[in-house]
Amino acid sequence: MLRASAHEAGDDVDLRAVTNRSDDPGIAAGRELLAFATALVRHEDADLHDARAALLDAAGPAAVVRASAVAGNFQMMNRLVDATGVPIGASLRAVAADLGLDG
Amino acid sequence: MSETQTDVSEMETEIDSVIEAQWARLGAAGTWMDGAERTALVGLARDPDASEHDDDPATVAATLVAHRAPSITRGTVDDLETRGLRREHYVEIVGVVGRIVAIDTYERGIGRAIRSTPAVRTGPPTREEVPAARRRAGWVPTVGAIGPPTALDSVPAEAAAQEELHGALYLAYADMVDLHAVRGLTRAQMELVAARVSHVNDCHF
Repeated sequence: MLRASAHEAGDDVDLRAVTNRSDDPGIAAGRELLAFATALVRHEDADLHDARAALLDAAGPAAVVRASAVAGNFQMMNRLVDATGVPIGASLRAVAADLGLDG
Repeated sequence: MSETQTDVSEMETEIDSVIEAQWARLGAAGTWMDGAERTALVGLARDPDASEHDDDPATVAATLVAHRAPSITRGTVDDLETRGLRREHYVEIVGVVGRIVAIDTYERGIGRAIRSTPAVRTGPPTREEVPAARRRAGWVPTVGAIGPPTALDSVPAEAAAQEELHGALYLAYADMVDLHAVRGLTRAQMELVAARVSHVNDCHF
């Protein structure tokens, strides 16, 4: 979905940035979003404070609200698929290979 | 906290009304748990030091789902059933714990304090059964093929609550095909957050 939605928007997304934050994802406020999501999910409160301020500066308050909401949703959905045995489809295996997660 | 961050935490959004209602309903009886059992899951979901080595299989399940979900296997779910945890009860735990974690994450993200445990409301679980639900490729009963939208099929109240929260926090299932959706973030920005959260959680779905 990341690759498809970025393509539709005309962005040249670099999927490797999802796993390696030194890479630029090629999406507006992408670095700030990655830092914010990471600090939020890892409960790194000091980093979260700074990451929230950086995202606010880069993209505004509505972006902070939605980034928090999307992170919350995927905290839920990750647990759902892990706990119920939802199988990973072939298309997702291809994305995993792009991210270097297939080994 | 800076003035700007206080502003974000005090913003009223369309998300808030959904969360408010969902949080209150956690204190009421569900399908396989009463209100006290469901609210007990709040504490387990928030305690990273909770142990999965417990005599109560429901406690074990909640702890694993909240804190070590990637470690769960078909054998884990089979073992919990052998110890007396009905699969539909497990499904309700998965749903409730997931929603607690989602709501807490949202509140912390915007700089709010997490909510107090909801008040317990008395009443018995409905024990609603779904005869059409059965085990297929996944580890829990579903009505059709298992996937993210169907994994909670065997507990309809939990499936409906999850779908409602998914729609408020991210996108309604029907809108998932809209790659141009903008909700504070562009769709690509939302997907970047989703992908990073999944990576940090070691979830490859």
